[in-house]
Amino acid sequence: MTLPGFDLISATGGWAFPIFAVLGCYFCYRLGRRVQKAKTEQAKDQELFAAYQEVIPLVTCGTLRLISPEEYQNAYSKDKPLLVIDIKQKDDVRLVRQTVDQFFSGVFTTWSEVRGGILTALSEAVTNVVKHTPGGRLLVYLDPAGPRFHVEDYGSGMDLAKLPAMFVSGYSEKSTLGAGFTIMMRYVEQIEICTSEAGVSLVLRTNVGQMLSRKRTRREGGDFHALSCRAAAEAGNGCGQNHLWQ
Amino acid sequence: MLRVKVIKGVPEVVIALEGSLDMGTGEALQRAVDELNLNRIHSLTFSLSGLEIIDSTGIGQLIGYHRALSQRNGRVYLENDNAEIEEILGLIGVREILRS
Repeated sequence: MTLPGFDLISATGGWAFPIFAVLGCYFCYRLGRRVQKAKTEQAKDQELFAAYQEVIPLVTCGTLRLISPEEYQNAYSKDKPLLVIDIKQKDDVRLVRQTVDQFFSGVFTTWSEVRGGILTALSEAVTNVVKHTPGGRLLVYLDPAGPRFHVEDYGSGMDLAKLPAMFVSGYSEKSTLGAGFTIMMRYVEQIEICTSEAGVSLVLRTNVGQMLSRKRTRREGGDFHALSCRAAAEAGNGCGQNHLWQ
Repeated sequence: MLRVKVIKGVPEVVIALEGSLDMGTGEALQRAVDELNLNRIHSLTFSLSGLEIIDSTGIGQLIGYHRALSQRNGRVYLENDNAEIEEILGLIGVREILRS
């Protein structure tokens, strides 16, 4: 059996061989460059991820953390959710709030005092899913400190390079991303972000006791966040004057 | 759920909002404003004291009215004596643009 390429080479009297050889070399070179580029981009992404993973908790007083899909899986795959709610359309923002509100009003006696902040933070996370992805789901857990919410979307993940936009506090003309995260960071104790090509998962941890203290401090005319940040700075975790929100 | 009550009509409009203003409920407010016709409004005051929840999308909608009215030399005011709502307005920095 003769290979078609050889047929062609012999049929052209052999002059096609150098052309095929040159073309072959060229395609190999292009393929090599593409693989190299992909590897460089992957390495860059990994470097960016590692840098953000280190820097983000520092600049947010530990409120925001970036975790890998493996870390997410290891930390939470065994937990059983108390509630699972699908997120698909605009009205789900209200439905999610209503369901969570009803559920926890029977669990905490102090729920009425903290519900406003927690439900607003939840609204922000669910709105992001409806606005920017094809859909997702909310999983609700209960930790000793308070409810924990996992907002998982079925989008294509987050552009790591755009992550610093979250730290722009206040309303932005171009995007409300900054505003949403400012609100979430105010009312939850910690947010973990896990992003991959399969979508984004946000873990919102609340601390009911801390929220109540904050309310009490505010009623007495103090600023809980300033106090807690000062305490964190005194404990030596690098926070203090540099916190990003009021 | 958002309840929209037009307390005072054009041109010095006052609208009281009750319930929640977010992505899912904003349309009710939009309909009320459309019916009033922005071109006939000189000032638009929103009373937010009856709101339970307002999120960044709801605030974005109010800022949208501010932008639209500014182009027509109109003004938007936010009246509110609800501490939780005021905290969110302050957090996002809306009070630098929209005053009582």
